[in-house]
Amino acid sequence: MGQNNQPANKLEQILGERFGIEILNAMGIAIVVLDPNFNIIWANREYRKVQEKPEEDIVGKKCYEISFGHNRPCTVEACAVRRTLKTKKDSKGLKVIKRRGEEKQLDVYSFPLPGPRGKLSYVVEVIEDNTQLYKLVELCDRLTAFASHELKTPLATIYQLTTVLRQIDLPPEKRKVLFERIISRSQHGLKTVENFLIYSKIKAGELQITPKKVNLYRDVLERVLDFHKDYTLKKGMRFICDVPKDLEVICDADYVEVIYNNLLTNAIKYGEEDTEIFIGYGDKGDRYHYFSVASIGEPIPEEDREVIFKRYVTTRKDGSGIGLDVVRELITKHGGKIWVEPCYFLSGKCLSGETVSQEYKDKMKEGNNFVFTILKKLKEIQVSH
Amino acid sequence: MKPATKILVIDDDPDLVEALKIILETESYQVVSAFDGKEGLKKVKEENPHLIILDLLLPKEDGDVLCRELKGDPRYADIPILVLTAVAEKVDIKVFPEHKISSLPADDYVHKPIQPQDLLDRVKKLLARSKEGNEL
Repeated sequence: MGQNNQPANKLEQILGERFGIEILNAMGIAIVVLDPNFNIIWANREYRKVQEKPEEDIVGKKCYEISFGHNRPCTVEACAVRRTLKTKKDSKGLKVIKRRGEEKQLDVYSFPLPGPRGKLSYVVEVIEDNTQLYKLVELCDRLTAFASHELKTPLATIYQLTTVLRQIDLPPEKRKVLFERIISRSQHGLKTVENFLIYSKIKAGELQITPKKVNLYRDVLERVLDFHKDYTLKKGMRFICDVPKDLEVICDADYVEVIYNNLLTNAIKYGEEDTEIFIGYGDKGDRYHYFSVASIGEPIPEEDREVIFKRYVTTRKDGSGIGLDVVRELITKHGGKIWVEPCYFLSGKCLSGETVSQEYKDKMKEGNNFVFTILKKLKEIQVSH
Repeated sequence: MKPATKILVIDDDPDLVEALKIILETESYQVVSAFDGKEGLKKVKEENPHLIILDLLLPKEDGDVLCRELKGDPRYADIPILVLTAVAEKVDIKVFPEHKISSLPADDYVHKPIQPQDLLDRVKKLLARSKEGNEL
């Protein structure tokens, strides 16, 4: 094959002088060429995108003016270009610029571009906008810290109770109570670990459900309610469960238990003391079972009602941001949806916000009702997915 | 009979409160408890404790807020506060920056869990220091 038939040469023939420029413009990485006085000679399309400025506002201007609005160059320590000008060698650094109130974190690489007599004529600056990457690293750090804290709390208590049992002579009945507390706290620690394991399975795309016909009350709710019994009692709360005891649902009982555990943990944690938690069920005659967990407490603002189900989002300072994300994913696997709506409580009843008039709302206690659905015929999901 | 030294434990974990209570009662301290920041403040006013053991991550009002509030109030500023927390200074500061322990006006701080004897030694030391301060 002759040289003229090489693809690059063909492209050069088509694009002519624009060959190099078009290639640089097509790259998803910002490239800018500067002279030794920091004047911008040329910038590719991505650089203009990163700076959020048109070409005419960039070429001929000083780079520090464009990036930071400064009237003099940055320090050698802070600026990769200055280091390259000084050392005539490659250099790299991190640049943080602000656009429309948001910080952009840019990784910067600068390279010397010698002129005909070997003298440094230009510096090429290559810029990667890694804002999203840095945000993810920060979120990952945050999640790790939360996971450690969530595990440390039950472990610290278990250790504390164990040291008491080992070092202090206690009457047998007191010892029995403490042993039971250790068992209960261990179970809670295990549930926390379980949540993180499910979360990692979801992230890896490995979560599979095994739907079977179960008696929801006997096979799921009884266990869940028993598990949360101590904590509800300690807050003076009680469960009101409307789920029919003979209700049969096709679902993965283990994962529906995780759904209820997460929702009830939140209801107990953020619900008001000495109030009820309502566990409801509804059948609207359509393709879905409707389940709900409602509690009295500070209502979730309207603007947060959707975002709380998104990954890493928590509107509470003591939340990891994965609990409701796990819940949402598990419900999706069951062909259902989850949402939260405001609700009102009166004489042991939980009423939807839509059904209560303003006059009555003012006299009633407010709360949050988490409603989720599960397909009645779960086989339908297997077909549609 | 000399009245017992009263210690207020403020922590939202009832199991931990129970464990601390058992430890402290071995030295005949009288232990009262509160499970959130607001209840903690109420108990400080009602019970007038000789010492407070305080957790940081609390419902209703955080421990660091309560700690600053008490130390800033001349009526309670002399009550020694021992901060006992699961928030590890170096590990969790990104998540709980407001709980930077070293910037708190507490008299002592220690991480959960604590060895029973260590707790008793710290309590004894703080009470002795507080007594000396009151006698001056």
